[in-house]
Amino acid sequence: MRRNEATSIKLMRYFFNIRGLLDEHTRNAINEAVVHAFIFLWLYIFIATEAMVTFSNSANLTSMMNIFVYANLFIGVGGTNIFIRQTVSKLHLDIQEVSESDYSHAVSDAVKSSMISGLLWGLIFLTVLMTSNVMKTQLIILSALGFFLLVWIIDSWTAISHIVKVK
Amino acid sequence: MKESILIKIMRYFFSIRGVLDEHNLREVNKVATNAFMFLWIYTAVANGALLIVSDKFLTHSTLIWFLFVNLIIALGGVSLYVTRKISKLKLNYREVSVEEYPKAVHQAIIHGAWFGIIYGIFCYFMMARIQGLFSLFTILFTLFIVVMGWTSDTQKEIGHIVKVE
Repeated sequence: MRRNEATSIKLMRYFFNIRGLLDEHTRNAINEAVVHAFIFLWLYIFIATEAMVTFSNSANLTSMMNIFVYANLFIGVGGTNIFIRQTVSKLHLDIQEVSESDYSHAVSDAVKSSMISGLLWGLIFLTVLMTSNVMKTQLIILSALGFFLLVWIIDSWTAISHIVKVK
Repeated sequence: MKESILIKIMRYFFSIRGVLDEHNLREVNKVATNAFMFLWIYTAVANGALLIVSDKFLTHSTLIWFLFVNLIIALGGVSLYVTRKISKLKLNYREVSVEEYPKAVHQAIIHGAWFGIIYGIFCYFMMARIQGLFSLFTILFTLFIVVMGWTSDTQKEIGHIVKVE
């Protein structure tokens, strides 16, 4: 069933931690949330970009741009992410049901995918610190490594706690 | 069936006129899911990239370009995709009885007026940056855009009203 899913659904599964089976009821509920998130994000980008074009000038552009980028990431990306994850959680779709024999395999999968997620965030963190020149290089590498481990551990822990053994 | 405010907004911006029965709703949801995932990933990647790009590349013109690319890809591209899909599903047609036709035309004119006003406000602020807030050119250009937006949208809307017996 999962193999035949559209790419957008596969991406949604990955980014919003949808692990459960999408039957008609849950699919409708998720779709409703996605339509809301889409309209919100589309309107938000429209208004925010229009406001930037209108109110920024060469004197304040860099500071306005920083606010714009962080607001886009926190409100646009983060806000819709939280909203969809909450819907997924309410529908218990973030729980992966596995048989006792598959449990160790599911845990190993969770650790591996969390490592990828940790690597990605670690790289982003490293690049941000490198470009901002706020610390010494060794400290930057150590911080990025720490961030990678933190994301890996937290993500693995969350993923493993959502794996449920069924008889 | 009572529709939520966001579905009404979607109907308005993407010209969805037809009845959203179970099949159509499923198709619209599929389109919205694709559009959302594209928009979400684009926003994350584009803003993330801007955040990690070195300060020396962030000139005034680069940032202005970023905003325009944002408008063209995130808003224009997504709108075009959704509108085209809606058009393929023939959901941009409104079927009305002969008696309801004048009322539908009147609604199309109102819709066109709102479209013209929103488009006009958008152009006004763009032009005001270049020509000044109270420049005669800005005001005349805005009025021209309002009339253009109004007439073209009204014409399009009326062209999508179908009389049924």
